[in-house]
Amino acid sequence: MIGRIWRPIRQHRVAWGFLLPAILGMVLVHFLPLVQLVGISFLDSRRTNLGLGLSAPAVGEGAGILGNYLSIFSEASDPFHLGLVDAVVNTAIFTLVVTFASIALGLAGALLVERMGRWRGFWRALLMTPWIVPAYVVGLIWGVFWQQDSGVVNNSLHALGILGEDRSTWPMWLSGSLTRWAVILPAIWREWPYALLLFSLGLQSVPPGIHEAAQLDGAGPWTRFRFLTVPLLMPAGSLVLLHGLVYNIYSFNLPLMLFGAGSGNGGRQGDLLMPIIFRNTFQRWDFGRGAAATVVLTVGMFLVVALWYRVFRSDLERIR
Amino acid sequence: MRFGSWRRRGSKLFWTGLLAVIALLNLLPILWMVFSSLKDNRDLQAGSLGFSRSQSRLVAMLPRREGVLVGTTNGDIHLIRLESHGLVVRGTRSLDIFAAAYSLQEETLWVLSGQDGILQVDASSLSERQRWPMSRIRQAFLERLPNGTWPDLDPVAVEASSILAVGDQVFATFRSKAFPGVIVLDRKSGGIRFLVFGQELPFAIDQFLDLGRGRVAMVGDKGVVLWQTAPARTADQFLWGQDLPAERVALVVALDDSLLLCQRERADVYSLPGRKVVRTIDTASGLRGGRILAVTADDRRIWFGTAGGIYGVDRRAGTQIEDDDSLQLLAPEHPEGNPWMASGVLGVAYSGGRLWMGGSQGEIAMGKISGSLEVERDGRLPEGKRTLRFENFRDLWQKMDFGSYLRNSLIISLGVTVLSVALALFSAYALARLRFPGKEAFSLMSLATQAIPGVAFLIPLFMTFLWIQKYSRESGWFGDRGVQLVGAWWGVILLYAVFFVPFSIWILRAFFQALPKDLEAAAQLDGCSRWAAFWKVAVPAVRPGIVVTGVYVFLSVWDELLFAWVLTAEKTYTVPVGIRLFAGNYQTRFDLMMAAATVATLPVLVLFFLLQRRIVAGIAPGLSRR
Amino acid sequence: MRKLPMLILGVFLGVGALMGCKSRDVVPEGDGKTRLRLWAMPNTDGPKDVLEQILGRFRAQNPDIEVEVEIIDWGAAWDKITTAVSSGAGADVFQLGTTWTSSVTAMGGLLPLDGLLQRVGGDTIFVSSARSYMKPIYADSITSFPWFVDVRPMFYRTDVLAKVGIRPEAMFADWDSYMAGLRKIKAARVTLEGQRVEPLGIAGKDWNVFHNFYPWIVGNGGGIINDLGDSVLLDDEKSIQGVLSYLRFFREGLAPRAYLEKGAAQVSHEFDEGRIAIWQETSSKLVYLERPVREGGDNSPGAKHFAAVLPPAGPAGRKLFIGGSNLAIFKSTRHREAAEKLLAFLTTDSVAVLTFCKISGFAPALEKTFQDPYYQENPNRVLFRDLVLSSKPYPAVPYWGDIETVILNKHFGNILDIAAGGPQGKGGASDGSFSEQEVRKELKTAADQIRALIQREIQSNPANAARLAGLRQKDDR
Repeated sequence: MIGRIWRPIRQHRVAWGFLLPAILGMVLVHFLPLVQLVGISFLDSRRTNLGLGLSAPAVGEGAGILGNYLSIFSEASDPFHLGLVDAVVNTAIFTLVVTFASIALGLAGALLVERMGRWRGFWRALLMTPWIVPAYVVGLIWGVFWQQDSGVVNNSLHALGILGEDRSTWPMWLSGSLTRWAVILPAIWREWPYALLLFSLGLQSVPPGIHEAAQLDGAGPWTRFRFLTVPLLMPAGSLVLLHGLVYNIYSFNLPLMLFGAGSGNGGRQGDLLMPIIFRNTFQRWDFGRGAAATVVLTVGMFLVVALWYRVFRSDLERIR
Repeated sequence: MRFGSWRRRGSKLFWTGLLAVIALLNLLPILWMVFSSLKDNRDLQAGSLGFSRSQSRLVAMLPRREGVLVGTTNGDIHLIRLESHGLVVRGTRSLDIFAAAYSLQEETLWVLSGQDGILQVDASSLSERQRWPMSRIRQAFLERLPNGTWPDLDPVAVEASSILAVGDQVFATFRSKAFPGVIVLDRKSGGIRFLVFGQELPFAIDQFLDLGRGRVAMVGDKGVVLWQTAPARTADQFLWGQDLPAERVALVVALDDSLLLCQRERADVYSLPGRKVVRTIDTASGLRGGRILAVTADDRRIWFGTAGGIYGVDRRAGTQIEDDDSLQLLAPEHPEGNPWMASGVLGVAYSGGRLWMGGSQGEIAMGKISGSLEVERDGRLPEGKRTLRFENFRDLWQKMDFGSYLRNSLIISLGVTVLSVALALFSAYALARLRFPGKEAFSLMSLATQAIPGVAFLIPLFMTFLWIQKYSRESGWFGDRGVQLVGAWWGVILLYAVFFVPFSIWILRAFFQALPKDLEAAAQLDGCSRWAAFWKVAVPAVRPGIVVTGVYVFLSVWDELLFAWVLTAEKTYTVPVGIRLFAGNYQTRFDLMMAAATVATLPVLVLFFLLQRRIVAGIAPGLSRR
Repeated sequence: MRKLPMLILGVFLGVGALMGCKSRDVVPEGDGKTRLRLWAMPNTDGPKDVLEQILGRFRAQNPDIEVEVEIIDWGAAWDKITTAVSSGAGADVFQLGTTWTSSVTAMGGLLPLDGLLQRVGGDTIFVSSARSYMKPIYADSITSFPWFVDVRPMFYRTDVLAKVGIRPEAMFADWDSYMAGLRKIKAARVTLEGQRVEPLGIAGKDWNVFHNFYPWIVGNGGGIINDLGDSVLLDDEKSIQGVLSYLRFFREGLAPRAYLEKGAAQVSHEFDEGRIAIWQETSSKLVYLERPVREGGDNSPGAKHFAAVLPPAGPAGRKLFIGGSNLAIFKSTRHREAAEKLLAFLTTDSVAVLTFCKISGFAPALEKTFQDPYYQENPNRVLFRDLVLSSKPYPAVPYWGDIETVILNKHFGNILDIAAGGPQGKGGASDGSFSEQEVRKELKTAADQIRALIQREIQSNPANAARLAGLRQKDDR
């Protein structure tokens, strides 16, 4: 019996030897903690018993072992719950708007860049700059730009004649209903160059003669785009979509630093999932519930990725 | 044909132009960030898009040659004279210093600033003749008191200072409570002496007044000291509450043998020989009375500049303020949204038989005094000079421990990069080149970790670290401190490194896959072992991939806030953590926040532009088939 | 290719070297001095300089102790403190708000200070209202000393009251006379210096929103939770009536609704500008109002004609808000004696306390400081002590922070919305009326949520339940 396990290991010992450090590290840092995470989500671990660690009492009363999960979703008086619904909605809207806007802008930009021929690389690099700026810096600077009375956005609008003289009537971007856009717009600004890059690389791999051939066959520009360009760009597009979904749902640095330079709150329209989980876990030290929310979030994300995989499986084969 | 090529070129021009506009708009926030980091904070708070700041506050109006020399708190000096067509600015100089104080002595204007020390400026040409920087003053102090503590003066705060040139000596001091004494500069020798509070002087001084005949009145927080310049000694001393009126005095003017002590809304004439108040003038009872902001005296009257305007009182008698309606133009409105500007008449001077007045919005007026005041001319001071303030970066360095954060970020990023890439190299090679069961499973597993949020690992790992720390301390095996993981280098570097391993494997694998299949086979034919084939042939061949991965990991760690926030402490704070910790303190200092953002972004931008081709190539090795 | 290993080695060496080199601020070690770290929040302008100045005497008295001051913004401070308490990697001495003392103590990790308190003279050296936070409800020992307290006098325009013909002592005696005075000011439609003056200013939904309501609730005989923290008083009729009394300011138009969109700092500025006659704020405003112009002070109508006064007393007496900060020591500190010396200096040395309070404008927690002429001889400051004596601190239970920030601020923000007639003062009845039923509903919801929270908190740690039972017994006796 042992031989059946041992022989393949011996046979591939070089390969497994090469993998060993990575496997060891990943078990310690990725897999074990995940198991622990699920465990913590069943404990009533909070600020007052943090020192007990994993020996904190299990959630018992009322809903039984699933108490943490149920309370964050349904218990109206739970502090975590109070902001969670808004955060979920905000994150969903945020992700969809930012991802699709970046895809649209990135595609348009890539087509434009493609026209530049040899200068492609230069333009690409130039347009990539926002993506290089660290996300928390983007949050920080836009937190200053969006200021009602002294921010450059409102003052520019005023200079263009769109806003009047009375500063107190100017829109408040960082509180109230406009916070959604205060978070979305910088995110789009930072994200679209990445989409542009992937689409641009994808466009480069299009066989050169194809467009001319289609033109000779009588296909107009729109037809060519729909039936030629788009399918060829699907692999790149699928990657952009995946990246957009994962990155934006998990967006943390940008929304955190946008409000009060890290100490503020996005409010009903501007608060996203990761900031609220962080706040409840590492500020209120509500570890049990934070773990539960994270588990749910992770499972949700896996579903999203699984869905993505089913839709784009064929395109992915093409990359391999 | 030619027409077609023109059209193509025109069309190309159009698209290029469009792209250029888009690129510029795209860069606008970054450009604005850098631009803002070089602006004065007042411009940023006012929301002005350019440098249109109003004049800095007038602090000194000194009579000179039938005109006045006006000095502002920012070091703008203007010489204004009356000429046939009105008030003319005959000379302007911007010293661009902070919190200046001025004193005029014949042909020399002495300027004091907390940032730049004592400056000697020619009163006619307004050019700087000599300068005694703060370092020299500090040196003089330490020579005098080797064990003394030199205060850390914040030059940006309004450390209102005072300077007076009398005879051969220049007296100067700062109104910071920590400042230890009075600076005495000898004009002839250029040397600096200190009169130390508690030794030569009985209490802290913040104003000087020339009483003539070699006597200087030094007004301080406890009273007035009469200082004899030659020989240098305290001639007499008066204490608040004892000889002098009880409240803190803002302004003093010499009147014959008396001092005019101006408090908020009251001025007392205090006779020095008699040691008592002989007269009290009350501005509050006037119709538009207000705090006394400036005062001067001519042979007939004492003129008070207040928030409500100018008032003249007979020098010899009378206690009431005469209200003069023709002075409305000198009662400026309180500027909207700017409560920090002292509004009112900030400067009064008597020069060339005329009374000169300066307002808080930069207004200047000059009038005749015969009977009542009649304003003859008025004008405005020129606007302040606009410069790029590179000092913002210096301030940033002083206010936040930025050097430390940069160093920590660099250490952690570099450490993680090297460790992560090293770990990933082996696995990536195995996945790319070797066939073994579980290959797909491992690949899928490592990919799956990228879909999991960081916080999912941070929560249990933080708890584990706490547990390790607690038990290592209690068991005593590792000394009484135990193993410190949170707040030390190890915790965060190891964690990050393993965290980025799957990602590094993913990229490096693609690069290994792109190598020609027979590469190692060829090497082994030449006699290399399996290991050597890997290490000496395959690895160097994927150097571009290593660079790409390294850059990616470096950028990701540089940008990382969540883990760093929880796992770093004083000694190991990284740039994002530092900025978050202290940006809250400086939320109204937009210039500093922009400067911090610029400094945090610059290394990353530079790195990117140096290596951008490699990075681009590595982002989607399967996508670009060049 | 030998270059790659060389490169890696070079990077490691470089990293090692960087780790060794010191940052600019770190004082060189090895000179035998004990190095203490002090965490403080920005309580004044130029906070670091002020503390360095105050610590000058400490350094002179203790030449073997070196103190490094680190100023942390309030927003980030809670994070850093709680992380440091749980991980053991932090400063030595640190400042924390009074409402934090209980929560942070409950996390463990604070050094017991009972011995130190005995050495400095027992808890009577501090004002009574500040003592409850020294040893919070579920604590076994004293974990912090009071540093300063935040009390809130009312500021009023002397010229406005004079013009309308109201005597301040009469107006601010009790709630009835206060309302009568406000109504009189409103009816008189006062205009001074070209400015229309409204009677009262109340700011909108910022972190102060609950603190403003509080005196009206307890002044009426109500409360939020009892002192032991195990039963809820918010939906008692007295509490509800107290809330409704406060809302009368809006109903009768005595406080402009437009200010509900502004924060406290902005409405404070409105007082300076002369647009409101009465404004309540932390005592530090006095420093600003009294500052001479030449030193950056103001010359506005508010600054010219103001006076401070005790807020009026409710039916159950004068019960006011009191906040403030304490100082505590992390259990993980390596220099226990030095840290205790520093803490004792900052909180019990009269000169240190007085200097700090002079600069910051806060009131001292140290009893004897009030005897100083600085307080006795200034008519505005002499009432600080009365403010402190008339105050009722929040219960020192670990979950008060949650109650306040999550439940109370949210629901009282909603109540302000209701009173203002819709979010941010838009819409709503023009006569200022609003639905009392909605307010009651809001209060009931809040009370229920607090009950659920308390229930959970007490059950999560069995030790708490035991302590509570013990405390209840003591109460009954």
